[in-house]
Amino acid sequence: MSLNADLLLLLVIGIDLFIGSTGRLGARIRACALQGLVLAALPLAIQGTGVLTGGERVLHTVLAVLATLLLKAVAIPYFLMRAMRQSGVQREAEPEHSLHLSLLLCAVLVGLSFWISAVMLPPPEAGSSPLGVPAGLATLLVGLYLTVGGRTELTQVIGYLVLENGVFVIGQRVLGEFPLVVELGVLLDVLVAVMLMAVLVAFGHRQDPSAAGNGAATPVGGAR
Amino acid sequence: MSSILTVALVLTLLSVTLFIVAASLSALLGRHDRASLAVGTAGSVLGCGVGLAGSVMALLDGGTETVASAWRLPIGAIQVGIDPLSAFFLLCIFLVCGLGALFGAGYMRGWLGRRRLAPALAFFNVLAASMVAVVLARDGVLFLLAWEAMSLSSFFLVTFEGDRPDTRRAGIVYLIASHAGLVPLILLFVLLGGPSGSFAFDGILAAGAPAAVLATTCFLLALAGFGLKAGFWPLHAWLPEAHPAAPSHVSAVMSGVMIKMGIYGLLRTLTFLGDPPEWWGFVFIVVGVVSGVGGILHAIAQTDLKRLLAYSSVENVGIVSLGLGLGLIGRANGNATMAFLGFGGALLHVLNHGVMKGLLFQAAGSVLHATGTRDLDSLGGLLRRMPFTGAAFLTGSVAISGLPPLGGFVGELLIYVGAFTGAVELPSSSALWPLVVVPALALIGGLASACFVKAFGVGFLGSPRTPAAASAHEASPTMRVAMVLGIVLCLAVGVVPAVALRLVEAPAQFLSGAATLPAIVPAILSAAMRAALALMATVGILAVVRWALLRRREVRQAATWGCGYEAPTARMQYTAASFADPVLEPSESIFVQRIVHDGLEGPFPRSAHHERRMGDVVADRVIGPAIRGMVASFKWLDVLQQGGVPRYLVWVLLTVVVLLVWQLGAF
Amino acid sequence: MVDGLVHVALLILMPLPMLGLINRVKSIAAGRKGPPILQPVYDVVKLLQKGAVYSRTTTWLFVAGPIVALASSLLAALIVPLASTTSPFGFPADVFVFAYLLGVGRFFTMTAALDTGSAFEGMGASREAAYAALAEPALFLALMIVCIPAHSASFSDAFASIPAAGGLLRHPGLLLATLSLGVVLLAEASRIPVDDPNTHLELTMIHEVMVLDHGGPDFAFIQIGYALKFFVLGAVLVHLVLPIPASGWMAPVLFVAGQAGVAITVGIIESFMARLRLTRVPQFLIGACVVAAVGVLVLFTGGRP
Repeated sequence: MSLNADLLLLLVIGIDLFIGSTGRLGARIRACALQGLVLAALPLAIQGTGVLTGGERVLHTVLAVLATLLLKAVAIPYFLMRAMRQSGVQREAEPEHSLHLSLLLCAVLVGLSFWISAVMLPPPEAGSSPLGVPAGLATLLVGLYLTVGGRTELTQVIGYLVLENGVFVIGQRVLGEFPLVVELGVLLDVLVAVMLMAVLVAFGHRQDPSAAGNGAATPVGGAR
Repeated sequence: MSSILTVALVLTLLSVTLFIVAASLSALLGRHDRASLAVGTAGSVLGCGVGLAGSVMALLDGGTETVASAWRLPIGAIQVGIDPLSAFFLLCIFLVCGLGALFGAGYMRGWLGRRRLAPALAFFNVLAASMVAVVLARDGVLFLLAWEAMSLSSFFLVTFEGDRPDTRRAGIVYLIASHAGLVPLILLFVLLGGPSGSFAFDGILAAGAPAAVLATTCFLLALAGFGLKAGFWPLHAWLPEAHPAAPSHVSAVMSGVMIKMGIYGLLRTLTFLGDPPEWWGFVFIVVGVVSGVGGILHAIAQTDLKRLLAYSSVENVGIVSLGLGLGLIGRANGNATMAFLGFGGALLHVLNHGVMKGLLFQAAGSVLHATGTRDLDSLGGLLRRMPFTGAAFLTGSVAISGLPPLGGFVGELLIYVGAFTGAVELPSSSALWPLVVVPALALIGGLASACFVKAFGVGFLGSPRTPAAASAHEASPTMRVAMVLGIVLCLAVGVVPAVALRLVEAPAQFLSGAATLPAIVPAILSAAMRAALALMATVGILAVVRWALLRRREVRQAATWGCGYEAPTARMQYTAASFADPVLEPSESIFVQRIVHDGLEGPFPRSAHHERRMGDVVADRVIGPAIRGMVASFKWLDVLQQGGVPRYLVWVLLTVVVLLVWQLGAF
Repeated sequence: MVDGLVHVALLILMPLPMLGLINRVKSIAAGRKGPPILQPVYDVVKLLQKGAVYSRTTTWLFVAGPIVALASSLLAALIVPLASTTSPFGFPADVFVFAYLLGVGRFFTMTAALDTGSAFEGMGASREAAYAALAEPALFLALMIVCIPAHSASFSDAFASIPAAGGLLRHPGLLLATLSLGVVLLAEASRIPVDDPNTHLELTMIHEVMVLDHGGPDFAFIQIGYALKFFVLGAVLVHLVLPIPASGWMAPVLFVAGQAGVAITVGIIESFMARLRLTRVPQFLIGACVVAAVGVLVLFTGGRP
């Protein structure tokens, strides 16, 4: 177990908290992209340099890493950004509206996931990071919170993405390796869902500007 | 059975007698206010002096003794006794009541010729006597009787100015709350006395620890009943109503010691329940965090000086609860050091809070006496006009914010170290609970600082905002003596914590089951002493340096800088509400706000008015709706009660018929 | 003995030039030459030679404020080990005493500000009170992360127990503690993004506006106290980041380099970052608390050391 994996997992948690504490959708999407990048690096950190000398598995891992990178860190954020620009909704909440409660709630969710993994789940096997399961659970819970509590469609999509990132982290811990097939399937699902949502958001906005963000978000002109 | 303990017990009983004699005499002298004031005060002070000697003797002895009287109540014997726990609370009672009575002697003069003083003096003595009786009682029935006497006498003190509508309202709220709190207590003693068939504490103890389910029920009942008296959030809603309404020296006694009777009751009940499970400690920690943070946030929101102090009592009871939680967790895990630090810190905070809250309420009382207002935004600049009162309030403020070199710091330091010990030494599954205490106490301390900087700064510093504040006068000599004694006590605990440790040592060992004094405690206290002394010495040296630097130089007076504006008025100063705003901003959503805003409309607005009131979240969101719901749900009883005699006769007849049928059916 | 002398020497020589270093970094980043690094020292010396002007509203508390603030920072600086892992004035549980000493200084600075009766200074005091209260839990949690592995709530033991090798990545909890302490440093020392020490508009200040009416030796005391507070919080950070040996010539060198690093980092932050809107500051501080809390959780998850 290397320290790097621990640090990467911490970064994952940090990104969860950041997403919970910012009201700007652009920042949330960028944070999501960063989380994707971290997830792509995770298998390398866990398996160390052994990845590149493992014979047949090398191709497998490299492919998976590249796919994750491409989808989670590049493609999906790109589409989300485009959707955001098209819909003209840039903020989840008014800038005056404080997000302390959202941040504190995310912190509570992180605490909860540490508690669940300490009390309810079996201890991590030797050699794997003790942070894996809590980090994954925290990401999953924060994603769930964003999906359920999001006021704009884009936040809901971001929440779904974060949730899926959580599944990814946990999956990696539980299976102990890169679950390629499962992962690709989920990724494709997400991609389709995101594209659909993006299109819906854009169309919804064009047809009825007042409906965008259920009135909770501010159009660009008003916010700046 | 040591003879010292017997003497101590006799002395405390003598003090009760003195209180009762003084109460009767001052009541009999009802028409002669001055005589009544003199007799009542003399009785209280003398009684407290005698009792203080007795309680210190008992504390230093550390033993236990019980005496049963030959008399019998209908359902129990009159048993009194003393042990370290009782002796410690007696000490608090006598200290705070004695200072309160002394202060009251000067304070009550303000009402001479305007109001009969005899009831206040008589009931003050009854209150002191009943609190002592609560602590001495060794029988459930006697305990509840004394408890009820305490509630009733304080009710009459709260309604001293009963002709004012807000005071009447406060009195009613207080009466209802005390009696709501009595219900769980009666149930508690019935459950406790059940197995042994006796309400005597000896009998309850002899019957052994109750079974787990019964013990938990008893614990929860005690938490509800005693917690209501102690003012635990969310059972605190009566406290900010009742405490400010009473005369200030009575508020001092109520906030300083009477609410601690709730803590005493909880601790006494815990001694009956055997070894506590760990989660009781968790409950106390949660209660402590919620009371502490909730209490101090509401305190910051207040602009009424005495209401602010009352809310701060909720906060301090929260800190005590944090200490108790640590103590219980330590006991459940067999960690005597942690248990000692937790209980010791909690008890020391009980004592400190009694002294410093007494001091603060007295200072607030002399402000009220001098200016006729409790509204912070009508005060200002009082430190120049009332140097003693100002110094007293400042000392109390620093002490209650838990800052060195004063007493409040020592108690909190013990709690911090207890929490840290728990975090390091407990098994890691329960180690996070004590660790919660550390940031919670830090947050509470920071907020308390903000609260008391606001209270002191707006009330005593700057320039007077109203003519009343500008013409304020210093308190009378007796009031000053009481406040100076309070200042000395605050300082003494901070600078010579070893003495304070001597006072809490026996009761903390009694509660924690620690056989000896944990080695870390004296080390920490001597460290605290060194820090306090070093701080005072450094301040002294720097003051001399400053004096030497400025000795030969020009020192001028000018107006306060106002960006070049040379005609500032007192109304431009920052108000209490504006000071509180940034502190409350992150937590605004937990308050019930009422905002009134009008004016500032159109191109030429005439006069503007903006008002924002922070309500109490429990009173406004929970209790208010609950009572309204209850009233609404009883609406259907209107059918029964309409005022017509014939209809009532019908109900009587119907009742008789139903009873007859029921009786006939039963047999 | 030598360690004690080094401690005192560092205490006298370093704090004020550190502020000068920050200003120098900012000047360079802005393309200016900037004032000499010793400029704060010259300022303080000049102030000490001046007389004083007091507002007619003020009382003895106005005079007491700077004195208590300086005294408390001074004692706090004696508690924290500097170029060693032991301090001349350390004792058991000094971590808590340290935080509360800073609290005393703050309490009296705030009351002295309110003593002038100026709305500006009231504004500054109320902001300081609010942000300090939120920074307090972060400070305590971060210190707990360092103290729990040492099983002692004393700076000397805690710093001695931090493993020497591995830099910032020695333990993930330590990394989070450093982050959160960094935020506390910026908030307590009133730096950007919480407060801007260079602003010239009273309405936007926090620390500066509280001390507007002080002058002469009083203001010198405030400046020294402020520099000491920055220095001592920086020292805690340096000990978390760098493995300062218990003794030897390497210790002072590493320590001075670390403190210079802290000053340069703060300078860089101030050059390239705008201050936060005042309503955002609480969130920034709550964020620091949350980061430190996660650090505690991580500490306990990895099996408590």
